[in-house]
Amino acid sequence: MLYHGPVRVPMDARQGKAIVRVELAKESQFRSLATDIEVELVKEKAK
Amino acid sequence: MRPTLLGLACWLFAVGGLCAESPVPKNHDRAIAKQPTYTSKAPLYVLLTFGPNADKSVWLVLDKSKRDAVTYDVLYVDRNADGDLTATANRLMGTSNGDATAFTLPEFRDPATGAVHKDFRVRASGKDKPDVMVSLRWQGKAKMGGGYPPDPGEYMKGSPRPETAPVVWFQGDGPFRFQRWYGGQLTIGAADELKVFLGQLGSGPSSFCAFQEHVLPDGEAVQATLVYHDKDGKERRESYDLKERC
Repeated sequence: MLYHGPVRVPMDARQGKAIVRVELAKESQFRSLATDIEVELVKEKAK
Repeated sequence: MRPTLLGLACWLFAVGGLCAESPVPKNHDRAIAKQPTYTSKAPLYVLLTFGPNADKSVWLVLDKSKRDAVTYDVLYVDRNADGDLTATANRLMGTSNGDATAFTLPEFRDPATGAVHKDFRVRASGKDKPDVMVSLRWQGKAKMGGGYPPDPGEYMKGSPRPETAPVVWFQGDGPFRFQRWYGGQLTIGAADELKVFLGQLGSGPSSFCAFQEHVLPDGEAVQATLVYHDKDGKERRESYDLKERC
């Protein structure tokens, strides 16, 4: 099962490596540890 | 390390603070006290680990009932985590359906906590190098499954050697970690969909253990923060709520 949503990358972002830090809200009844997911910011996705 | 990689590593550390890494130690104890004589020329190993510190190991070894069997139809499970795979109760015969074979136990006692998990299941799909998925219902409630990759098509494989076996960490009490599903590339100026699993990081390729049912209450979003550099090299952050679920 997946949790998802749109991530709009700002126009002024530089191409290359970036991270998305994912976590649950502090008020959540569940505990999480922030997880850094490495992503690559691109002008156009590879086909 | 090249300067560019060093720079990236420093930046990742600098923005990092306290971030999740798998607690599964790189030098995880992989000793197997006693093994049966396997029928297959190439038995396949997967290590499960339990406990808040991922320190209780349960070996799984896929084997064949006959030397020339097409699929792996025998599974050894170190049910009491003593490292002895030779006990009769540790040998399971699978039920095959085409190229897939399933092995089941109605209950599995957690070697770290003594809790009883329900519907323990190992599924091996394929012939020579089957995809392996391990699942159970954590304390009889939410279903968890281990063996997920970040990108489709590369599910967990058993290893021919214990030293290189993937390690799946079953820990349904949290704290939880995340893994992406697709989304390795995001397009500048566009709104790409980011999907994440909720569960626990393992060790080795495709070893994430995810909840296979939604455990967060309706309406609770997962929070995502994009940390990037703008064209002037300045660090920027944008936050998003991942509200959807599928």
